[in-house]
Amino acid sequence: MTAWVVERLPSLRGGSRLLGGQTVALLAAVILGAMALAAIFAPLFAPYDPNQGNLIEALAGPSGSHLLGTDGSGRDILSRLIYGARPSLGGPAVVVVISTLVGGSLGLLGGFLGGFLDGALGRLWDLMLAFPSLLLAIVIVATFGRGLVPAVLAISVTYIPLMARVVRGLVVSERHKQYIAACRLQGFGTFRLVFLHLLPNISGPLIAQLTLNFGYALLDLVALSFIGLGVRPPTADWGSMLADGKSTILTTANPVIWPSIAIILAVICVNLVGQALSDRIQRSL
Amino acid sequence: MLELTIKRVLLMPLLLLAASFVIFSMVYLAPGSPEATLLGGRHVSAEAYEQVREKYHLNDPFFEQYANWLGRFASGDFGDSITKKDTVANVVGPLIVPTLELTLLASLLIVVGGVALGMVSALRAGGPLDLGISLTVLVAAAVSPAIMGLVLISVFAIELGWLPALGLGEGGFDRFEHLILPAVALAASAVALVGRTTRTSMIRALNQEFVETARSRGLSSRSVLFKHAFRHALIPVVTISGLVAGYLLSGAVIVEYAFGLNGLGSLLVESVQSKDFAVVQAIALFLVFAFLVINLVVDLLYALIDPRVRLQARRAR
Repeated sequence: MTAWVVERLPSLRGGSRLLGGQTVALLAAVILGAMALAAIFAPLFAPYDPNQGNLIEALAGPSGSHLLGTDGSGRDILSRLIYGARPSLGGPAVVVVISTLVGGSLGLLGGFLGGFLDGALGRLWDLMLAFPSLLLAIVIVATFGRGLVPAVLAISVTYIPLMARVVRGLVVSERHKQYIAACRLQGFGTFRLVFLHLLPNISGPLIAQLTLNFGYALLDLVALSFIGLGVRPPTADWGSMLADGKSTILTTANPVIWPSIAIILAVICVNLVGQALSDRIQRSL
Repeated sequence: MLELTIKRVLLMPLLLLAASFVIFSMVYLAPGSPEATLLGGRHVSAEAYEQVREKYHLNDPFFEQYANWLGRFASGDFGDSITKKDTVANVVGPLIVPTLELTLLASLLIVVGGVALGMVSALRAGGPLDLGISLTVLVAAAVSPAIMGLVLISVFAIELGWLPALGLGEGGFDRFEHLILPAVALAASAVALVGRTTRTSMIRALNQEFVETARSRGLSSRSVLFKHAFRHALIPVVTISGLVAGYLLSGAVIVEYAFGLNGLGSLLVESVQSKDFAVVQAIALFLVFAFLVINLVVDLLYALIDPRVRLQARRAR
């Protein structure tokens, strides 16, 4: 089943080598870092209030006063992009944390203990994976209401079986290795064995997987916000900016272009960093 | 092989049953009472209120409600849509066709486009064409169907005016024309995934000994390429097709919404927004069913292409 998960990830190896490997990954990491800083210190960078529009200036193209132009409500697109980075990057980060903590520990438990628990968890993941991932998120949002928090929680749920399977696969492949037996012989407790010896040994592939999940979660959140089930207006978010831009696309594509670039750039950078990490780990193994 | 098939086929109704339970309990757990939605915010007497609860069996215990719901579902009664004032079957049924057409057209693009791109890329590995394709693939993989849809609308429908942007058209060729852009938007990032997978596995296949053997036996390069290497390279592609199917079903929701296509996806979004739970349940269960069937077919296809799977199954018996 690990094979399935690994296949799920885009292998960008060809791409990253062709772009010069590590240098590009470093550049990608710098871009991501800049985006994160802009999100954290949004009030410092944003030239305007992201939610304050001037209808007279609506749908203006890029100019000196509005570097990226304005949207259909006359709001400054650059400011909305910067503030929008908060839910658009923060949301997927929360998804990664929740799905790793919950899915990871359940996968660890199942993989390490085996037996009935492992089987039961396996069937649970089968069931959850019987839903196309976004559909499960949509059904959850349908149940618990729209908004950033339900959307992030819903997407987290869809990543739990994935993380559980990955961690379980890694744990099962490690369980019978000699160092584990050596630890046991020395009389180490299970806690010490798992947290000081087992986890560090599987952390490499795990981190690569987390990075890639971040990109997928970002796209999922964009999708939910785009169909109006994620971040609620007027809060700026890259997905809801797309949705706003859609309503004025007959007049100008400008409000759609900028959030699109931000999303694509962020996902490409995340994928490049993730790929570089997993390449590096593979080499060090 | 037969045993494997039977096992998979038997497992399907179980998974479907479990999925139906999940879908039903979610709606049961939903905050806000269903009768409030049914009454649409109108104030009614306690008596009428009780009547509504009685009529929709809302006073029954949870499992009885679930069993009743399931029984009705199994006999083809999917309940009534609150917002459309019609049976769910009448509301959902006709919309299956456009969604099916959209996903089929997109699958065709994915299979043909992805495999072709991957093959070309693999055969010209390292060349400028390979570089171009690899870069395109890198970007396409990061593009969500929402973005792709909007880009296609603004370029091909608005700027160039080549193709219609919204709606489903009149049927026949007009319908096909209306489906081209949505299908491309839906297919794009999956084409990238399939292309990349084909490229990697084809390069690997071309370096295998059996390809060299085939060449040294004097087989024509076309025969070596398509009969030997290609079949070997196809296995990882089939492996990811289950994943692609899940992506297609999820992506169709987004694409239908972006292009204003009247299909299952846009109805699902609309019903979620208006809390029309009967419709949400029916569509969700239908999509899960479709997904399970596709995965089953993929598994069987897998055995068909990869002789090792068949051998393993035979040995296991």
